[in-house]
Amino acid sequence: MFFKKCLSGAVLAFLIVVPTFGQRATISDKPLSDRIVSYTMDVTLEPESHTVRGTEHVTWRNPDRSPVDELQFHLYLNAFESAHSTFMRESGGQHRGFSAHGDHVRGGINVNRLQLVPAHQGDAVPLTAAPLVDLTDRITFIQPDDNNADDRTVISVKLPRAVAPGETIALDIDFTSKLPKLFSRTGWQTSEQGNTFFMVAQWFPKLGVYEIPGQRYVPADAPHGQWNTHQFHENSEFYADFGTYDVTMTVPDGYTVGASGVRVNELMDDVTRTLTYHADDVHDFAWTASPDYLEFHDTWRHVNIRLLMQPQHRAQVKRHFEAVKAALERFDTWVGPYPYTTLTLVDGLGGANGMEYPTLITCGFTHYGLPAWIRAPESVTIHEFGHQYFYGMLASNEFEEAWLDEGINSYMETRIMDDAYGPGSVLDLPFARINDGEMQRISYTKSHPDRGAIFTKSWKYAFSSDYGKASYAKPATVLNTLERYLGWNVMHDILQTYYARWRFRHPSTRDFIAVAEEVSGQDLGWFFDQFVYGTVVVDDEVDAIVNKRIPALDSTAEVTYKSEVRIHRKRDGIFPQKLLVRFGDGSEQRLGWDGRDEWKSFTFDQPIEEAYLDPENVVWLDVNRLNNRKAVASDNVMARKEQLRFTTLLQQVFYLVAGLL
Amino acid sequence: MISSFSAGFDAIRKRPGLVGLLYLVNLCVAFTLTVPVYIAFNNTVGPSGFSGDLAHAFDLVLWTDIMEKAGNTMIAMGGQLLWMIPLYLVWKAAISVGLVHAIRNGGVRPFWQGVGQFTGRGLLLGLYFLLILLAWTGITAVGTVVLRMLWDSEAGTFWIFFAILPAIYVTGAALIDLMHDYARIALVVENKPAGRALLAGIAWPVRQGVSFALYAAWFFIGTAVLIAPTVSSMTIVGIWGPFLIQQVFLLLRAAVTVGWFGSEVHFFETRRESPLIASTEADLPLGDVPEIGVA
Repeated sequence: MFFKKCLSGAVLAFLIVVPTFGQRATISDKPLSDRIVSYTMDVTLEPESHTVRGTEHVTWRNPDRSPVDELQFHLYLNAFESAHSTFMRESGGQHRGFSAHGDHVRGGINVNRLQLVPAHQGDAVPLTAAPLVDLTDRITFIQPDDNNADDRTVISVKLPRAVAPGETIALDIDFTSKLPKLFSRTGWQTSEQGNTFFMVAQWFPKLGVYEIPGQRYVPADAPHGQWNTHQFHENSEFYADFGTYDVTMTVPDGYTVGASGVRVNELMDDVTRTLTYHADDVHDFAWTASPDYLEFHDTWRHVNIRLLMQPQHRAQVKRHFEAVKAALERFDTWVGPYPYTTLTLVDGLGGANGMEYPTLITCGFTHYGLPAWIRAPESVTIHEFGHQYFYGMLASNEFEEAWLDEGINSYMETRIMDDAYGPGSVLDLPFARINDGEMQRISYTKSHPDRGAIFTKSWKYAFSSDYGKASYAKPATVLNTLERYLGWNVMHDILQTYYARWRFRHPSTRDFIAVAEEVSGQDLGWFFDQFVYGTVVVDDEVDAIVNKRIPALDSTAEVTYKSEVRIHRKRDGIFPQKLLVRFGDGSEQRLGWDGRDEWKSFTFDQPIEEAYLDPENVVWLDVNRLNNRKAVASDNVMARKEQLRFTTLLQQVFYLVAGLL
Repeated sequence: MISSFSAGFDAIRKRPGLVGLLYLVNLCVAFTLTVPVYIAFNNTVGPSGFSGDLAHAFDLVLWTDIMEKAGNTMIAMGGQLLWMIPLYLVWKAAISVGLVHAIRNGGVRPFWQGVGQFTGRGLLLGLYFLLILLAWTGITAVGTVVLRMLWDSEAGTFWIFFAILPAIYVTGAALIDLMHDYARIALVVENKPAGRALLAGIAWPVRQGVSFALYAAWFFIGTAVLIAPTVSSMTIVGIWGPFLIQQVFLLLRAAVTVGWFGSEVHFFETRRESPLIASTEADLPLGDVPEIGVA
């Protein structure tokens, strides 16, 4: 397809062939993944109709020990074809603060032809059955998640004959993707310069994952595997197999394109640009096009970083590069190497921002004039880069176990933000420094912490808002607690081992826990059962301090004391922790408490000044830290300071409003 | 203008009691309102052992815990402002006419006499200007919408909301305040009814352009002194030390109010076109009447 394009281009009067780019897609000579699929696409962007039209040659290798007679594809753009799709029903046309209004929001994907073809030369294992067979009529829409007959985001294609174990099948697909007006992740939007911005994601027929026996939750002794292909939901969208992508995109001249992978060729004529991108060992491909982008480049070791910025954000280029380099450096040290040779940062528009695709992320949570003390662009850039690991290489099933990518990645985001930017990593004002870890912590502890288990399918939360808490903030807090419980060195080893063992595969929650237990050498069932599978809440309190003076029997005997610290486990969560007791003579004693009993008393023979539960602040899961500590003598210094502060503030307000009359 | 500006400082020097009165009322009202804050925080944090830590550093996690327990008290304090601010505005209207009365003609008249004699008309005048301010607010809101349509971009949003709109609104509000000041002075000095004082106030800056400069000088001094407590709280550690320094600035802010009026009254008295001939209140012979009321 690529050569045909070159030939037709050669007859044009004015043809420029940009020299081939020699960059490899990864630093490895060998495949990094199993490469079950390959996609070769040739598509054209038609800006006026907001349409991408083209062909797709896809191969799939049967990884099972049994024959497979069906293929399943995602057609996720159909989420936008009507108000009755599962995505639109779940979201109500509202997503992350953006709304869908009017007909122009409609989008969709149409498979015009789907044909069984001989596998191309070079495909891993050529299909033995050569004749062309049109399978278009065999396409049926299925709704494996909710039986919503109006949802057309997954198709099943019955094959004329089963694909043998290890055999590779090839299909040619003609498709037309009508992009919606952008409000969620993908589509088009008119920029403030008056041009059309495109974020082309979830845009082509993409195979689901055929899970073989023993993979994730398919029993090892099952007679055969099964497709795991979910509909497009409000809150999850990623699960696919690794492979290679060769994508040729033709766009009008003047458009700057960013895409997954590395650019391997570019042709230009009077009216169009044709770019070819190649990506290895990835499980998705997204691209963007806009005439407005300003392009900037930087490098980090072997990685070419390309930044496509909206012109109005030109002043924030340095902030993006610094953030992504902070992330690259720390992921490399803490988790493992970034194997790709390229990374494209896209400062997109509206609902396109804050998304992850292989080697391409959309950042963009920014605004003209955003001050440096609000680090929204940095946190989003770092978060989205983190997805290159937790989603990209560690390709968990986002629909079923979103915390494995969003949650672990949010934990990494807190570590990196707080390490790179210090105590005011999110908000850095002289009178209020707020860090990312604290933000995630209160997002969990102050938002119905007893609702919505982490291990829940993304569309199964009783309250939609619980998805965000249970997939981002709570896992970040759970893992920050685990880090403090096990120590950073152990946590570091867990992250590295998890990455080394499961990169370019599809790990499950069970796999992560197994790594954590293996590396720590501890049975952590009590931890994960409560905080990942369950909804228990930790709230432990120093309930009372009682100092009893026992009078001396005679004047020569010393006065003795019987003092007591009473601990109350107020909620159902159990967490072993330390108790620090300070005595009247200035001495201290540290004790362990298993956290089990609802009430627990510790007695001493000297007067107590103060008792402090969890003094090292290990248990970030504790929903009320204020009651962790109690002193015998009340101290009003903070109350007085706040009163005086409020007094001054009110005086200023009164002077100010006095000008009104 | 220089002599009027320095007359403001003379007014401060001559009437320190008025400075003290303005400051003390301001402090007492604010301090009284924040007593529940002290009680709520003391009950919540006092026995916790975290008091010392929180007095020295901000801790988001602990603060969210505190607000869970003490949040209702803070909301209640906010509710108190709903009646306290209108009451304070009435007080402001009263002291303004009292100040003008006390400062005019060299600053020997009794403050409370002015309060008693002119507060009613001063309030009416204040309501007129409040309506003008509301109208100005509406005009700037409409102007902002129009400007947003003409400059519909992120840069436009930034500059409109963080530079142009504040600058235009504050400039307009300052002009209204300037007119209000001279209307109030005309009301007291020339004993005009509120409606005529309103017109005189509106006309004043048109006739006396230099009054802008005088107003601006005091405006910047007043703003700087009002912001200073916030800046000092960021740079000085401790509890009573910063508070006392802040109070010095707020005392200065009260002095600025007296000085501001002193300057404008002097400016009005020296620039008005013709002295009031048929005044219902003849000027008192200077030095003959001992000062009464606050000194």
